[in-house]
Amino acid sequence: MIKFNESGQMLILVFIALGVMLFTVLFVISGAQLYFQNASYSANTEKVTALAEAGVDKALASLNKTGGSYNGETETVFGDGVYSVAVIDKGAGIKVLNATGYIPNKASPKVKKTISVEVSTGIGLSFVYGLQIGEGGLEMGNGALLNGSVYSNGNITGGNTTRITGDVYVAGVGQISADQQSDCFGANCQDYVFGRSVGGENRLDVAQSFKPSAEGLLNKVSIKLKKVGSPANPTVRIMRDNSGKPDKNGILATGTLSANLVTSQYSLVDVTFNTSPGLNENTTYWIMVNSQALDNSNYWVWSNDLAQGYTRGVPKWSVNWQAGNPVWNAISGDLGFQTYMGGGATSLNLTTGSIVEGNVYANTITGNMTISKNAYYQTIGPSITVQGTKFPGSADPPPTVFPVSDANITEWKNQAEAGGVTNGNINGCTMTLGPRKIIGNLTLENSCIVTVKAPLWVTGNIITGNSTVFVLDSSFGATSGVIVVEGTTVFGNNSDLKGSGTAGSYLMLVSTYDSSQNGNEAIETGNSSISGIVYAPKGTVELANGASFKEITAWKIELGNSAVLTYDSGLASTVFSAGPSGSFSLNRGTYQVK
Amino acid sequence: MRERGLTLIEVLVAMGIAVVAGSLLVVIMVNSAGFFTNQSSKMQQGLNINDSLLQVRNSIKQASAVAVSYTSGPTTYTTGSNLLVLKVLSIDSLNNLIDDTYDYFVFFRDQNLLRFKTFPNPASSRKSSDRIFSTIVDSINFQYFNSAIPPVEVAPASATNVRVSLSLRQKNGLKYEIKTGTSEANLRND
Repeated sequence: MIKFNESGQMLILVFIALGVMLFTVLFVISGAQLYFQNASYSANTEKVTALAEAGVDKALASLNKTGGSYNGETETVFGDGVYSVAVIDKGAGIKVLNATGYIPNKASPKVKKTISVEVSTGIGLSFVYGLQIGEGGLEMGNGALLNGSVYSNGNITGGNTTRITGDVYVAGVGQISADQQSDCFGANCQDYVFGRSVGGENRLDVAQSFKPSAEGLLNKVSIKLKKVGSPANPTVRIMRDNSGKPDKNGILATGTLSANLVTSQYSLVDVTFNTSPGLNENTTYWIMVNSQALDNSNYWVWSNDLAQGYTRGVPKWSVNWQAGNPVWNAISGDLGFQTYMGGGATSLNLTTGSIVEGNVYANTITGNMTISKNAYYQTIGPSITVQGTKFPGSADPPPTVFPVSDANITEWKNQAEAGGVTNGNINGCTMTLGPRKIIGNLTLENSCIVTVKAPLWVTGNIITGNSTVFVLDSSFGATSGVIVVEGTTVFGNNSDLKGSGTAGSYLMLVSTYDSSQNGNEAIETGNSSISGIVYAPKGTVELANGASFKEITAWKIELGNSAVLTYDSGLASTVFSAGPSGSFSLNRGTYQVK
Repeated sequence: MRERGLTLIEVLVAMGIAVVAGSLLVVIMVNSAGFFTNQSSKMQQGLNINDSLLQVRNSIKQASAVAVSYTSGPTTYTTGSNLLVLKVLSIDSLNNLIDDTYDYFVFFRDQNLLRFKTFPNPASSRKSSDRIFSTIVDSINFQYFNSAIPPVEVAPASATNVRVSLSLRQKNGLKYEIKTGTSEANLRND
């Protein structure tokens, strides 16, 4: 018989066993904890880089939205962390963006990463509509297909079975010549600076009064401006008069002046409004420009006529037009402007079997078509089927401003000329052209592949054989380029305008030929598939039967039978590598991870 | 008072139970430790791939170009499918970029090591370095693309995008496991 006289031996064994178990469990748990921490750190390092890059993207978008007045932000919550952005102004339109991501917060970050990049005002132009047409209007052949939206300042007519997948706007037609205008000449031309403080005057708001010569709708105004730096888009208002100053409670229409259309040289810049206000004859109204901020580096300059040649109005400035009792101060002179009256009835007229899949906004809708969504109109024909809601009595849509100004084109021309001048015609099959001004015609044979280093300026005509393609040089990357032609352009079949090969890059053909005065077509594309942008603000563009394209803006457009538009959404934010200052874009070679 | 002791049968039964319970415990502990080691090894591989690719990707983003080669002393590093030489703008003492002055980053496989070497320009404030990102490299492969849509594989000097595939090989128990990760980045400063 075994006896244990000493108690507690088993307890020791139990403690040893428990100790081994505890050690093993703790070892596993601590190891797992270590891996968890490592994995979290690794994942957070990825996340924080993405956060910082998100900060850069946000800053860039905000700079463009505010015209450069965005000053950064602090601890914006995004995902699992926060980011802060600091904007440092380096002058000449250049800014440094320092975006720092923190996880989980700035006060006690587990991980932190800063990305620094330089941005500058590039050349941002926006082509929002697949087709944008001036007063000449749009003529569509049978079976034409538009995959996008159309905005026309003139009539739209179409053959059988035409189809438009987006919205259609037909604005009221306007006058060709100005109703009221003020300009200066020679020594009487003076700069009037606003949007900054001048001699103690905080010139935030500037206005010029005018009196229409006849009653009617105001279609647009043009303002003679230039800019210094990159000021934000100012708001332009048409206001009633209140005892010799703009009536803050009498706003008739509001519009935005696109800073991208203004350069460092004076030019008349068009502004259209959210509605076309009705004005009375010989009654005083005001064009009031409200700059977004006082900025001594980024501001506006309005041309001022010291001779005071305009006798139907006066200019004034104010610190705050919205103050309780706003003070408006006199300016000596007359600021440069033009007003255009309009309101002539326009129509959309598509015939049998035609379909508009979006909304239609037009004074008159006639012909024989189906509108899949809503119709906004004054008059509608009996053979129109509206599947959405009818809105009779709707005001005509106001006209829109073209996305490229004369000032933009002038600047491209100057840059082309700076690249060199070729006197005389160019014939044959040249492989590389530009940047250059060609005084003469450019005539190319069949199947030429021409590499374009934009901008290229041709003072004469461009004539190409079949299958000739203009390709933007690959060095342009994601930016776009332009060919400016003053004469007519005739493309053979299967011709094309191609970007650099990088997404977002386009080659734009700009024709300054005036079809409204000269009668001929500015651009004839033949039976081609055009992947670039065609722009003719005063010209007619004619596309042959079966042609296809992405974006055309012209005074008048004639589409052949079965022509096809396929709008590219990237056209809404096209950046040109040379030209007038516009939107901010990243400067190559400045990306830095800190 | 005399206490009654345990009988032999009681002791044998108790010892039998203890042996069975102890054996089970040991088996559980061995299995869980083995499972833990196995999973840790896989996680280690995954983390190592992620961290290495992150370093390579961040360097590619900052690069101005893929350099064809870089010579340091007797050694010439030539860009190819197994070695990447990046040309990166130098920085000054305030961490600002210096125009037209470049440092060179070299990534390559050295036996089972993933090495990252920095060769700064004399004017640069960037430090010279020779770092090892991984010690279990099985293979590394660099591919070079342009910005066309879809991207086309091009010579390194023309690349605007670099894709890197990294395979790590690690012993896990009695066998080796290979894990591969792929990442790519555009050159932001080309």
